[in-house]
Amino acid sequence: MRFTLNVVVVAAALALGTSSRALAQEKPTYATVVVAAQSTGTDAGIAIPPNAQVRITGGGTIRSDVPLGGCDATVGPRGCANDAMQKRPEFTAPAGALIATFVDLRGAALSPAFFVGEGGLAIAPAVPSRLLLRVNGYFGGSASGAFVATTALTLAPSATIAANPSSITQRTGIATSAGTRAVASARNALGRSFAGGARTDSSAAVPPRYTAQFMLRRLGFGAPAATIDDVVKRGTAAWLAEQLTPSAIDDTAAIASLQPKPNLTDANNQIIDSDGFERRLIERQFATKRQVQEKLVLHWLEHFAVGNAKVNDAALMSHYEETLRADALGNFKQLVVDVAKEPAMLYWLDNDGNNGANPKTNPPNENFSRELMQLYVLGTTQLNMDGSPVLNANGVALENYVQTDVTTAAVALSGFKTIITYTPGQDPNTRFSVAFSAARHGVAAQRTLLGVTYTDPGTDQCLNAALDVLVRNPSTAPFEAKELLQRLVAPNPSPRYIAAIAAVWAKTVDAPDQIAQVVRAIANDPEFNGSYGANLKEPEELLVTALREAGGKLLSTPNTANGTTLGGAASLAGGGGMLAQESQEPYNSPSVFSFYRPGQKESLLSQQLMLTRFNHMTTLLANNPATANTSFDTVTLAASMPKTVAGISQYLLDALVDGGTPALAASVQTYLANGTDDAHIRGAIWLILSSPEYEVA
Amino acid sequence: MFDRRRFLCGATASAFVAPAFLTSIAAEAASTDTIVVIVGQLGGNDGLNTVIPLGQYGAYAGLRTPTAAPPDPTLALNITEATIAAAGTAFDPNPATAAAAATQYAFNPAMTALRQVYAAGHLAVIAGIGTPPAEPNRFSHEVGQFDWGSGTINKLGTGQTGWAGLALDGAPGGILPPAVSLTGQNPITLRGLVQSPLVISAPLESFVLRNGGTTTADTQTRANVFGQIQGERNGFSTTAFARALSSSATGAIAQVQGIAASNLAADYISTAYKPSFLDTQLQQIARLIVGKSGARAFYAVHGGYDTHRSQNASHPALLGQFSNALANFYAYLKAKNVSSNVVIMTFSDFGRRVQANSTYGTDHGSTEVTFVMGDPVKGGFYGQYPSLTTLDATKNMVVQVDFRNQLSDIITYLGADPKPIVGQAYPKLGFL
Repeated sequence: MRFTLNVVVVAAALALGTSSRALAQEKPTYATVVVAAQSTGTDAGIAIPPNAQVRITGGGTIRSDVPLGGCDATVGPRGCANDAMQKRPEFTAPAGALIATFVDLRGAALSPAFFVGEGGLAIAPAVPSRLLLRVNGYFGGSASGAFVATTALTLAPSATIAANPSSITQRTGIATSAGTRAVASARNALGRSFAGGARTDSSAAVPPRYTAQFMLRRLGFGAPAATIDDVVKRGTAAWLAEQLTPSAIDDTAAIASLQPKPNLTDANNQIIDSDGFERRLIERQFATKRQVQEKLVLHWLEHFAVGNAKVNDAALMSHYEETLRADALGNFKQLVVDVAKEPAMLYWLDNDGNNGANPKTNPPNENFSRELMQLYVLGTTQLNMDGSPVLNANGVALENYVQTDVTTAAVALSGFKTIITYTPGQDPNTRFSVAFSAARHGVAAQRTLLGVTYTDPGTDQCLNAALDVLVRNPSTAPFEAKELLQRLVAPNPSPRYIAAIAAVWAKTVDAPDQIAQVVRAIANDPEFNGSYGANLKEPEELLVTALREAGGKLLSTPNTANGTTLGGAASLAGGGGMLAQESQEPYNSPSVFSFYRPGQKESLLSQQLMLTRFNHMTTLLANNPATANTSFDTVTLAASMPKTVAGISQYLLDALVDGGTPALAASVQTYLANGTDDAHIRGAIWLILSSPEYEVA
Repeated sequence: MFDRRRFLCGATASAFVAPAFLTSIAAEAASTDTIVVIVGQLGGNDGLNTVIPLGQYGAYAGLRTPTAAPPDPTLALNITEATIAAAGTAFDPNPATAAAAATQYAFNPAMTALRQVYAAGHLAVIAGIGTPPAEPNRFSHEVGQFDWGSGTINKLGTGQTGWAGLALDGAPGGILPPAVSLTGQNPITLRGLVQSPLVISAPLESFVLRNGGTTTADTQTRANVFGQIQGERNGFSTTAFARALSSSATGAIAQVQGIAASNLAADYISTAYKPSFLDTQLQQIARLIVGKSGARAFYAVHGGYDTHRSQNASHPALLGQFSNALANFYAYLKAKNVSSNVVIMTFSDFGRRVQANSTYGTDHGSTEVTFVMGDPVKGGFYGQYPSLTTLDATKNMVVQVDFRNQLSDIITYLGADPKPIVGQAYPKLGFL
């Protein structure tokens, strides 16, 4: 079967103010590209003029990587003798079986991937670009290259596609008005091509305000209009430089606004804190001026996930958080050493009181040792710098460690124990310490870990010695770089991007500001701005960003008058709170895997969780700012808005979704046409906060 | 009829043509209405303390008594013979082998309820089951859960589908799509090539959308504009995913609430014990089965089995919850006359090490014990308890039954061909 794709490049050089009528008179131009058979796409791509509208259709056959067709040869009763003998089904590619993305002439992505065959018009970036194609494995809610082209995929001209964009959109199911609006949008002419999801990496083409909002949302938790104004005035580079030295930022006011740490115990020595320690973290995300540091705190809290369900001590959790914050932009090895000696981690992964002195007769607990290697530092598989697995001659991925390494590391990390004194009335924040016992660790010894032989000093420095081997493992830089990129940029950063950031990671392995240097490199890469819209907002980002960007209030004073006490269903934090309902209760990761696996934020979404996210916005918007501790102060916000339907809509869309799509703007205006009073402004905010555009960052 | 296409690509699905290879599966699947309920014991359940190998009691007791100094007898992990005798060892419903079996194996004393289901002949115990050493990372939670979900080995990071999802690809569904997760999460187990599961959090009543309209008219206007926004298209692939989910969610609200309203299952909760979260999930599944949702695979989980430390503090209680919840669920389906086509199967990430560690717990190990329960199940003991003394190089028991063998038999029960899904044909274990 022949795979035919049609790429129609319509109306190059769309200029500001060009009407759809003018566009319709342009003659379409066609381009051709071949995706080779047995490949998963093409990096050659086709050249696309700036601002072109690109319509791509296709059909043909692709092959699944999942064996579902029995064996190629008749074999014995045990089935296929090996994996290669299994048939992979070939079938007609459905819409969405191909994805495309715009890249600049150096190969950096300018847009997130979009589906081919959806019927939409993709708007090319404002700079010359190439269009790449991938055979898409996006089925069942997860993305991968699980399909390959069976035959050469050829992009060819098609006589059936008209030049008139509105007639195209009619035939393919997009409402004509929406399609026409999309074409006519002056915003697209500025290079903000929402219809195609493309975004130029040229800051000249994107309004500086949107570039600033994007950076503050990705590297922080968004910001109110006044803060954005200030960053636009000073420039994003200056803002980032300031953020990367958080100690130089005066954060006194923000810290003073947080509710106090737990400092009282009851008659049974239980800490009187309720869920305050969770709430305090969210309050800090909302209030702090050290936004980048706090975003990294979120990263490390999820990377080194610890659950209070097992630790069960608010003071230990607070101490853990403060240690992560102190090291958040510092040196990674120091961070791991500090984490390993934190009481919360000692309890969480059972290294507390672990005895490695007689491993043969009394085996040490391996829990921390295994997860330290698998999840915290280097991963199970040996990695190249670009994040791809290292393969042997037979194409099989090589393991980073074997069971012997797990056992050795368990011994090497043993001997630490948390000491807690229980004196009634004692400040719970000062009643614990961590002690090292040589008797439970064993004397100085030569150890071989991950193929490296080193001397374990038999003292509390045993941790530093073992962790030094781990952090210098060649897989550590790409492993950590990729996970950080997946948090801050996109679930599928390009191999080039991973390699570039891993190189910075490896080069700065001994630098006290290693992580700050890595974050700077991430933000300065063209793929950073090009990833607009590619990352889902996690629940904490979803809620805190909404409050910061749309006049929200997050007060530390519990208010019981209207039921919005700390904890409980109407609050953000706490068991049963909104974040818990959205599967991300702070400090309460269900397992060592945190709330989702790196690159799979999608698992935070299900039909249930989508509804929950929408419903929580309803709850917060219904709260009265005069009495509730979490609310939107829309009356104050409205004072700075224009008074017209179009003006209010534009103001809210600018603040929350960088202007939004023309179709979204039209919908919001349709709603506001019923009224522009406070109730309708709240309704308009809800519609934007529950739009797919707001779900991503 | 639920619009399953919305589950594929949301608004993008209009041009979808079902791959030809799926139609044969569909034809086969449509001929039956069997239902499978999958229950995961997350964390890696200690099979040795779940079904105790009495026949190897000496080796068991020796390896399960920690040598930590000072020894603390209350923390020893072996279940004492006196405790087992008090709980009763009658294990095998087959009179011909019952006497011998009673001397060989015993349920953990906390599992009285499941022991009674076993005695009634509706519970299969599969011993010595696990992930083969050909999976190099089989002692990782992530790998263990993924492999049990995908029905494959060595596919973590590349595999995107699960065995139940593939088995039900092309199945017609009913009021609801063919696969439903009650965990609030989307497990790999239920993902097919062309269908995604409906994901609900218990209880069903929480599956609603509130738009906050201030008047009846405003509520209606918000609903209209909301629907318009969710139906709009743009090119963000991530957004398209959110849009597809939102569409499938809002599309399913009426169906889920219809079943919820028709079937409150107020009589579900047994007063004999305190319900756990597993009970809550199974109660919702019971409501969906009684309410004829048309779903064919359900997914629920029970966590907390990663007992590295002080295992006795939690493990017996977990097994008690597990046993009560499963037995109560089965009894309820029976009472409602809807049990004849329902099979409940369990799995865990992996088993645990034979030898206890120095913190009175057990580390990640190889073989586990799983259960299959239901009217269609031929109760009894399947698989083979491995030797506790002849261990492999990782000091673990040797796997006797490949986990894919159990899945293979369940896939067959769902009406699909297991061989292409789990990679090869396995001889039937015989419980179905």
